[in-house]
Amino acid sequence: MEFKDTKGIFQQIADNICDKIISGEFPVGSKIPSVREQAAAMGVNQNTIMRTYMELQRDNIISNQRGIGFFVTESAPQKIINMRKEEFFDVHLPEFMRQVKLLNLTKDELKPLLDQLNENHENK
Amino acid sequence: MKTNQFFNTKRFVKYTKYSIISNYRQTLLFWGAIGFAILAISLLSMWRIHSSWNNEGWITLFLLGFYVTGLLNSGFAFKAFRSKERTITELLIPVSTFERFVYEFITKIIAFLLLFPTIFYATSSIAVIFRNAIPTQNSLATVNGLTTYPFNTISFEQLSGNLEPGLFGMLLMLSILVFILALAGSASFRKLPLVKTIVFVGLILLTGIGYFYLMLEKLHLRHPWVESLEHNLSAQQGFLIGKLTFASIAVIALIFTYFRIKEKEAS
Amino acid sequence: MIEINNLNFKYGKQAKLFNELSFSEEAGSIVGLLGKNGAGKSTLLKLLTGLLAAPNNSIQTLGDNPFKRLPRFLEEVYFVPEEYELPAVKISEFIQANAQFYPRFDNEKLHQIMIDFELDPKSRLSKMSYGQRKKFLIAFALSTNCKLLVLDEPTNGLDIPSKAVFRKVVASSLSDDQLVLISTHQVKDIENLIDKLLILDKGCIKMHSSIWEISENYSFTTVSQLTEGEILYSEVAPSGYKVLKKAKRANTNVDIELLFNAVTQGVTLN
Repeated sequence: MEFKDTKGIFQQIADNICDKIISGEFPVGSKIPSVREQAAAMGVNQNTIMRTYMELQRDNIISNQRGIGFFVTESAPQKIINMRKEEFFDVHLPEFMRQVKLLNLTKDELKPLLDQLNENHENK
Repeated sequence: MKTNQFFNTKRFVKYTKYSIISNYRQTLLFWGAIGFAILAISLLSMWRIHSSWNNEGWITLFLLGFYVTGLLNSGFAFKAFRSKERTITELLIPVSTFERFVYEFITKIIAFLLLFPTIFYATSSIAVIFRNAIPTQNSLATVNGLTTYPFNTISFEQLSGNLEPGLFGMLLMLSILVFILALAGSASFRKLPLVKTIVFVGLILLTGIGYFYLMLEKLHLRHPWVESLEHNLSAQQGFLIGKLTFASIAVIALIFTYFRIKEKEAS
Repeated sequence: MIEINNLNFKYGKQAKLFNELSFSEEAGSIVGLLGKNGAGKSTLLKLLTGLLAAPNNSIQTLGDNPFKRLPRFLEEVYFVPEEYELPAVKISEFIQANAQFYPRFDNEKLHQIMIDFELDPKSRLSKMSYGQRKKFLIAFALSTNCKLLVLDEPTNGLDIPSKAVFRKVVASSLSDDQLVLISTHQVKDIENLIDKLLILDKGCIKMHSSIWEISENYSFTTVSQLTEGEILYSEVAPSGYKVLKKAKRANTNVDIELLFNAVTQGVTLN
């Protein structure tokens, strides 16, 4: 089996920005830190950050306004949630299911999970 | 822009400022030590042989000090080249090889020629003031009809006046040549440049002189030209030839020094 | 900015250090130069900065033969060597003596970086520790805004917090027209700081690639058992094996140590 490996630096930076967008730290339409600011804060190469920003721009999560900076797009939160869901169903859920089977977990044991699922359902 | 890369006055001034800031402590220490040595030797000389101390004593002291100090001073040239690490720093200073060379030539040769007599005069004058402040028996004040007390400070007139005309110039040229050879040695050797230069030049001179001594004096071999030169040359012309010879060797040594700096590597 | 064509080099009668070595690099990157002990990293840096003579004009740095050491070349190059000796002067005197040579010297930047490194501008260079002097030289080098900055083992002697500060100041204070060359054995200290790798081994450049390209074409994973397949190189690790595989857009973290060992043991990546 393969262990859960550390993600690449590009993915790490992207994830960090996405986390801040869905948590509301970087709301829709706001300017995210410049490449230079990020480099100064993290000690990471400016080209590496620029690459990540370009990837995020390609995914329509941020947009570049020439000479001003990068801004969170209108559709960013939904896009990120969709991407995260995809990742959840592709990676995390199969692994979770594997563990559930392996450990022979029951409804009672997973009660907190079921409660949360019910609560989410009512909120929709 | 070619000449600009070879010599630029503005850059030369910057380099001068850089060198002064980086080395002024050592330079002050060097000249302080020299001044102190002159003061001590002057006082000692007037003390021990006060009865017969005269200007000739001063001149002897001056010429001796001039030679030794000049040699030491040139031996301290290109200080950064003494260590591998400082050579790296020095060679990367944005300055041209020629500017570096000119700086070292001016500070180690030209400035020395002006500075040493000044310091010698000032220091020996202070020594004289000290010495004269100490009472001396009157009987010793006059020896052989010459008044030696109170002591007088050095008079440079005798230097050119009393010597055979032309000899002084040749001596000066010879000492400058020696300083320049030491400068070339400083640019070439990493460790103990002065010692190595003295041994190196000394060996060449000794073998050269020995060779010609054997040839001319022991084997009595003569070319007709040498004969005619011996008969027709006045002392003046001899000194002139000496001066020109020394000057040409000095120029060659300077060119050699320039290329030593230019090709310097920091491995 | 740097161009080396078929460089052959050896010290005196010693064995050849570089054999037909070639590579070129443009401005706008921070390049990590890696190589084993004795591979010739410092020698290569000295050749690039004109401290050693390269035969046959085989090196061009900033458009000049570096060994000519023309002032216009030297004022665009700052080299922080691994071992150095500084004059016994105060920091302020050092700045006064040296800053004047660099046309784009930024005093404000120097003071900011010195604050970041917690250096006291009133100190005397000869009384500072090795690490503190190194930090000062790095701060000075960055403040010259020279087009080519060469740092030989910059994190040697730096304490743990200073290494993080080092990464931050280097990452944030560069512009597109600059090139930084960092030679190091301390891969962890610079892994996210560099965007290009240059691996020097057995007299040649064995790898010259951007971290992005490596990340896009290879995967670096840890497995409990070695399976047959695309494994290019593997190493025993506490949790099994570290494995280097060819893989498109795997998005794994580039393990520079693993990559280095693979390359120097003859694995060809292309």
